[in-house]
This record gives sequence, C-alpha cells and structure tokens, in this order.
Amino acid sequence: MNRESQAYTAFPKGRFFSKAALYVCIMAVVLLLSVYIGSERFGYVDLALYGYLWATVISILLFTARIAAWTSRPPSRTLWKQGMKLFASARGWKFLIGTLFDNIGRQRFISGRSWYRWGQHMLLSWGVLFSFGITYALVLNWMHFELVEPGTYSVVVFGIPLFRMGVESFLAIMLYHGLNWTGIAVIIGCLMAMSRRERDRKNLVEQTKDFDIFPLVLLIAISITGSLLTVSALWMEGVFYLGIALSHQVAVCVFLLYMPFSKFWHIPLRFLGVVIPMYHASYAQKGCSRCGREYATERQIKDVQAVLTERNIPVRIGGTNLQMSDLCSECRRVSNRLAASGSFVKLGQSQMVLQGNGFNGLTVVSGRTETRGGTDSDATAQPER
Amino acid sequence: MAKVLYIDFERCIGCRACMIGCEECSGHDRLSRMFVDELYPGETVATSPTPCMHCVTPACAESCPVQAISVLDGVVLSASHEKCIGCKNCTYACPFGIPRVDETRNLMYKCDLCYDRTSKGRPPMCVSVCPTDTILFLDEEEARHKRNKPVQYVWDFGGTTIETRTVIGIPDKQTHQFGYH
Repeated sequence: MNRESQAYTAFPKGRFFSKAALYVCIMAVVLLLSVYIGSERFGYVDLALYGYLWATVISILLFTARIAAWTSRPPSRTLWKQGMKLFASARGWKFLIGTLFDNIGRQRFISGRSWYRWGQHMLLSWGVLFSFGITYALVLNWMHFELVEPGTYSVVVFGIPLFRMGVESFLAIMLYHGLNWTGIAVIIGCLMAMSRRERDRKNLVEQTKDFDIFPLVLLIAISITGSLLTVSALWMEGVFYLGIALSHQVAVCVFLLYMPFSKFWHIPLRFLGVVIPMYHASYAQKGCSRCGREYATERQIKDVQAVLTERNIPVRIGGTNLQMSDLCSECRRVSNRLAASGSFVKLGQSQMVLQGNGFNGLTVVSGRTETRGGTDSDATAQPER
Repeated sequence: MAKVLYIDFERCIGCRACMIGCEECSGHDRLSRMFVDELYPGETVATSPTPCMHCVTPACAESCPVQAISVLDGVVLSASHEKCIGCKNCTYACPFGIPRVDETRNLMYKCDLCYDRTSKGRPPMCVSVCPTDTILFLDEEEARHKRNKPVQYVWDFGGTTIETRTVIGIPDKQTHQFGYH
C-alpha cells in the first residue's frame, strides 16, 4: 500500500487564513486599545521599551495565528467547545477554580512524575509567568508609576491609581526588582532542567538541541543579562550598562518571536487542560459493548467518534452502528485476535456476534445491525460454528 | 531498511517476559507498554501479546487535542510530557487498544518501539527477552512478505483502511498447520 495514499486530511487553507486573519485583526485592535487606555492616551509611553513593545505585539499576534490553526483541528475544537459549555454553569466555575489551583497553581500533574521535576518546573513556570506579567504590563504601558508627592509613588494600572508607596519602601524595592527575583528562580530551574537532561538516558536520545536545549539557554541568557543590568546600575556605576541593555533586549526579542513556535507553546495547552477533570466528571459512564465494564463517558466516546469521522478515519465495525471505540481497550485487542483466529466475537452487551471481515477488520454475523433509516434490525445471518 | 515488530501470536506461551522487559527499558518508568491478553479465559491457555501497531496514520495522534503524539522515523512515540493533558482521547480512538493514561502522572504512555534502543540499532526489549520468538524484529519487507504464513498489516475497519508497521502473523485457516515453520 502506498503510504502517501492515506495521508492526513488536508485542512482547507483558505478557511484557516480567513479565520487567522480575523483573529489577528481583532487581537491587534484589542492590543492597540489596551496600550491607548493603559498609557492614558499615549501620555505615559515608555520609549526606552519601544523595541520590546514591537516584539511583544508581533509575538502575541503570532500566538493568535497559532491558536487559530490549533483550534481548527477537530479534536482541539471539540474540546474547546466542551470547555465553553461546561464552564457556562456555576458548578463549572467552581470546578474551574479547583482545577486551576491543582493544575496551574501547585502543578500536581508533575509532582506525580518526580519531586525534582516538580521543583524544577515550579521555579521555571512561575518565574516565567511572573516575568511575563511584569514585562507585558510595563512594555504595553498597562502600568506605570506616578510621583504624586515627594518620596511617594502612585501605582497606576490602566489609568486607575491602585495604591501608593514610599519610593524607598520595602514594597517598592520588591516591585522594582520583581524581574530579578523571577530571574533567579528561572536560572535555578533551568540549571536543574539541564542537569536532568544530562543524566536522563531516555532524554539523551529523544531530546533535540533546538526544541529542548535552546529554550533553556535562552532563558538563562535573558535572566543573566537582566540581572546584570541591576548589578551595573547598583554596584558598577553604570559601566557597560548600554551594552548589557542591548544584549538583554536582543535576547528578549528572540525569545518573544521564537515563543509561539517552540516548547513554550505548551503554556496555553496547559490552560486547556483545566477542562479535562470536569469533562470526565460531568457525563454518564459508558459500558463496553462486549464485556460491559464502564471505561469512559458516553459524551467523550461520541466526541472521539465524531472527530475520527471528520478526519476520515472512522474505525467502524462492519454492518453495525458501532465503532471500535465502543469496546474497552482490552476487548479491542482480544476481538482483533479472535477474529484473526477465525473465532466469533460475542458482544454480550449489544447482543451481536462478530467475525473477521476477511480484510482484517470486524463485521457482524448475527444480532442487531444498522439500516439505512438509522434504526436497528435483526440480521438474518447466523454464526457458523 | 526499516525494521518492524512481527508478532506470531500462535507461539505465545503467556510468560509475560515481554511485559517485564518493557518495564525495565530505560525511560519506561517501570510501566509496561506491552499487553498479554488471554483470548479464551477459563477455556484455554491461549494468550496473545500486543505492542503498539505503529499505524501510518495513527488514530491516537489524529484524536489528540494538543498534538502531543508525534511520529519519529515511522515510530509513533508516547505523548510529549509537556503537552499531554491526560484527556484519554487516544486511548479510545486507537482501534487496537494500545495507549493508556497513568492517572498518577496524568500522562499517556504507549510502546515507542524502545526508541532509545532501536535508534542505536538494538532490538526492542520485548524482542530481546521473548523466549519463544513470538515477537521478532525484522526488516519490514521480510515481515510482510517472506514469512510463510498469512499476515496482517492492512486493516479494513468498515471501509476505513489503516496500515500498520507492526505485522501480525495469523493462524493458517486453510491448512490448519501449526505455526512452527
């Protein structure tokens, strides 16, 4: 069989381009408005961050295009819609807060893999997320400090004064050096990750320099050059400040433009992951058509079957309305082998008997079968035994 | 030429060495990716091993909402650790019942043909430990055409054709000769 003959279903490019262009335009307008409002009608634009501003805008627009491509895939779109539906209820929001805390807050999914990886990931992820928050707020001019009295700053977010603080107060020092604290966390996390990648034998084979190692090097470069800015300003009387600032800006811009197509793409995927616990808990369980064991929710099986049909690979059982996914994993494996051996496969829960179809698939020989009208009727064929 | 798994399940004695070997493979985190199922429980001792079939167009990857399952050198790999969100779509989509989700780590895992071994020219762990040559690691063409018994590698599921790299040798139903050639 020619391997090219059953390639992945081609997605209509025109549909993607029009959708992506629409989302990108909407996002560009939203960004422009946010900068306009945040900077109080461009009154507080920080021109020192001009280069970062353009890299950030382009990065967000590229992210938007990638999300448009991603949500065009049938399984992603299905899960996305399920998430929207589930979280339209009060119970959904309660679930959402719980899973956000578990999956994003304390990242329980990774503590089960190992405590070392959990510590490394907590340092890296929270370091990066807080850095994003601070960088976006400053670069997009959503936040700025106003000197309202001698020795007192007002912190203004989107034109709204939030609180005041002393220029040299503890809170102010913590805020000014926010990116230094996150930088230290990122450096420690990256070193832990690199150390693990040096030791883990499976990683040594599967990891790639561009996908797994380069992001860590880039994060370290950003954190070190950023921290050196503080070192230069506080303890070196500004020596090399301009060169360090330029190298930091180059590193950050490379990071921002590389981010949507790199390992960092998993960050938005993790947020989709908060849908899963509720998706699994909100629907009735489904029993296997052969052994009767409950193995999934009815909703998810229907979704998976719809997705495979849309991708032109529905895995049907010939002469029935069933697909292989109506059986549990073990029954799928055993049924394939029984059919290959020439034995009959009794679907105890669906009152059907199957056998091999002569082409390595399954077909019904007795029991309730599909009809053109969509309702079931008794088949006339009888098993020969 | 690419090498593939060849399963002659008539030879399986149900010792489950393949499962233990799979657990021991580095990077498998003590979780077996191999299955040994009883075909007629309570009636006969017939068993069959099932590894991943490494489909050319994998239903597991097609159904994954986060594109966590990738194909490398024709090998369908386990889900990417950073992308997998544990939704279990792949476990339901696979017509051969292969992927599983580790609830503790919230991570899908499946046979990756011991990629760390096979990429260096070594056979997968299940092949190395099988005492009855039920599981062999052969050149793809040899597995498909040169074995003297009927084989399965193109499957027709109600009109949908799925081609697999793993080849299954099936009992000869014409002559009813036992599978030891």
